[in-house]
Amino acid sequence: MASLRRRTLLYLSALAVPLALGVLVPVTLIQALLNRSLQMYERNQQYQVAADLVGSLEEHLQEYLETKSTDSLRTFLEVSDQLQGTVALFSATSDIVPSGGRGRHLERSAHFMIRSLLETADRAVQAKRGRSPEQYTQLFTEVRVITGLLQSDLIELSQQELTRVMQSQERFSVEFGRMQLLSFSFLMSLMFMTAGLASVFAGKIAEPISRLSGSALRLADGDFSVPDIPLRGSNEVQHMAQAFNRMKASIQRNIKELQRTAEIEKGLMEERVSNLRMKNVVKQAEMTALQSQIRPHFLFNALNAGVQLATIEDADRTSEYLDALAHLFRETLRPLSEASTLGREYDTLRSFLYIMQIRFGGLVELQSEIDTSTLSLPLPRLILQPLVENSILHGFQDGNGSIRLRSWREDTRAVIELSDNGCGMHSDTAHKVRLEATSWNPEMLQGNAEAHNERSGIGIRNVMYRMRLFSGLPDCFELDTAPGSGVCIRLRLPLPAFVTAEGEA
Amino acid sequence: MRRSVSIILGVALVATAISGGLLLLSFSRSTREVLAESRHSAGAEFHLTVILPDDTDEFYRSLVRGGQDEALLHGAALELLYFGSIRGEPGLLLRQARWMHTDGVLVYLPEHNSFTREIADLMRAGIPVITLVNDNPLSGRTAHLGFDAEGIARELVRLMVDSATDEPHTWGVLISADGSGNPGWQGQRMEAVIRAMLAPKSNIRLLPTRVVEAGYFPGEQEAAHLLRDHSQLTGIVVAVPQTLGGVVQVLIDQNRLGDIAVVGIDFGSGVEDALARGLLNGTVLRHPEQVGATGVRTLMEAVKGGRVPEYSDLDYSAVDQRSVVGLR
Repeated sequence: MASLRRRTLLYLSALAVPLALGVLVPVTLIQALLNRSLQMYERNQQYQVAADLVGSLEEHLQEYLETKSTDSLRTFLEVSDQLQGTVALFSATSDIVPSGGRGRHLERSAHFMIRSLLETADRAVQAKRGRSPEQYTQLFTEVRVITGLLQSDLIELSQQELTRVMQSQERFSVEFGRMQLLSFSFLMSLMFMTAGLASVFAGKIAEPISRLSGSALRLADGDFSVPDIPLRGSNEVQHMAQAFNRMKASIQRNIKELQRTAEIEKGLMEERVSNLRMKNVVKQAEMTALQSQIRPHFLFNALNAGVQLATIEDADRTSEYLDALAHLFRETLRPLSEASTLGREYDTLRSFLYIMQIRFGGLVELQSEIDTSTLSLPLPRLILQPLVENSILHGFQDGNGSIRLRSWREDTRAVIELSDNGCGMHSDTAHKVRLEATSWNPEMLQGNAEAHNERSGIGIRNVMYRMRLFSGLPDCFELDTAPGSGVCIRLRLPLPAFVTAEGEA
Repeated sequence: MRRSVSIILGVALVATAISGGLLLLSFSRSTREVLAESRHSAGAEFHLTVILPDDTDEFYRSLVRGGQDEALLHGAALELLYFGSIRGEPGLLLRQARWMHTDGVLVYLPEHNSFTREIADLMRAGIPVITLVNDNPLSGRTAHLGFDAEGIARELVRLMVDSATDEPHTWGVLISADGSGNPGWQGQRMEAVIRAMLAPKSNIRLLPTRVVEAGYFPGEQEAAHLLRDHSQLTGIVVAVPQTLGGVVQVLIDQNRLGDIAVVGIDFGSGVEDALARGLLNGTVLRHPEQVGATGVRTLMEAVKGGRVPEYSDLDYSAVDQRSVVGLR
């Protein structure tokens, strides 16, 4: 497509040429006719001048022949020279078809008649000088005859020219009248055509620009649903449309990119926040455990000494008790952030129950149905013991009861079920716990007194949240209880690959 | 809006194209008018002067036509000069031809002419002169093209005898004058032949010869006199060129066609119809176009320096009511 500038020039040229023609043609023709007419009139005038000179020559020749004066001779010679100059006015060759009426070739006739006249006049002058009166008389008579014939021819020639001019002008004026009318209608229709073309041309230029302008305004208002501007029009308009389309696409891409980046950053931020919360929870638990661990640390050492003493004194039961207590304290001394396994938690649980039995009497029976392939299942530390402790403290009335620990595999998950046959949880409490389990509200980790367990220092809420953070599963903690029906807690964790492999093996 | 603009544009375009085309056409026509004035056709190589009595008689006009056609073939321009009835004018025109530096002169002189000097001046100036019909042998002219007057007379007699029956006939005889009312020598020769040939014919009586100037009106006038003076007239022989038409008109006017036989020389255009309608009984045609063509051809030959015979006879043919079918 031609550039806008070229198209504009092309349109203007296309309009200018016929306009110029419509004006120049009649003007040129009128000028040509005027020139031609002037030429003809000039020629006519020259014919008249020649005729006058012919008459003048005869006159001055006669004067000279009669007076033989130098002045008359000089005058005669001057006239003769002038007349000689007019010879060239008449063509020596005639057309085959005679231009004059009655078969006369007047121009040729005038040409040679003038020459004959001048020759005869010269001979008459010579004869006069030679003093031959008969000769110059005869020659003068001849001059007169030639003059008469010549003037007659010149008059006829002049009339012929005039008639031709008039006829030509008459024909031309008829044609010119027609031309005037045609010129007028041509210019009028050209005017309308110009207006139409200008309108079309302006539309062709303005339409893509106005479309571009409208789209740009919508884009500026944030409406990215504007369609692409079609690539029509001149080069410049096409370039603008192309640039606009690319700009729009680029803005859309950038916005999407920013949105994606924001989402990623949001995800990262959330992860960071959850990590921080995890750390916070862990730190809190560590702090709590640490605080609770600081005092037992002395006791642990003391207990170890007691184990030795009991062994020395053959106090087996005391030794067992102290051993269990030491095992329990050993487990609690480890950082909570350190992962444990189901097997170890199970051992810790047994130690805990032994101690509880010794301390408070009563009998808490632990029944286990553990899938051996889940023993190495990674677990957060001190997950099971706090739950059992809750069951003993809140579920069993006289310290007697039964705890059942089960584990099995479900597809890609492991399920650990810890249930008791205690009095169960109050419905409100159960409801709260379930609510916390299903809603991930990190603010609930912040120093809630209900979550705090006196003995381990780690509450069920802590267990719940650590399980959520460790497993990443929304349903990792499930509570099933009813007043008088005991409490059943199920923990779910994803099976690591090595546990899956062991299970398949 | 767009549709209306398109319609207006379309109509304007068509109107502009049509008016523009017509304007260009008109312009080219006008230009031709203007340029035609300034354009000169190719010039003629030769210039020949033809001097004739007048341009009104059909004989001379046909002669000019024949001469112009022939001149066109030779690239020559013909200058036509007419001397009318002015006695000395042929001489003036001969001199004018010399002053015009013409290349050659073809002249139809009056029967009695004294333009020896003018013709001699032309010859001295190197301009060949050819005389037509009427000669001037003492002038030194280059050649003469003429008709055999006696031969024409014999044809006239034949036409007279063919148109006559065995019953007695009285014929009037018209011969040409020399311009001063006296019989021209060609007319005299024709009369002599006519009378000599018809002398043995006892049933044909010839009236005294009347001398008449060549021309339509003189012929008309003389024929009227003849009819008035001779009621028993049965025929008229017009041995005068360019006169037969006038005689025939008198017979028509006086309702004497069919009563009086007419034979003569030439008739002009329409001779076939005239014969077929019985306006005249016969005529000797001198073929003026051939005369003009022959004259120009011979003159061109002389202008180019070729040899031309001094005397050449021009063709003629007799036609009557029987032979007009062949003529057609």
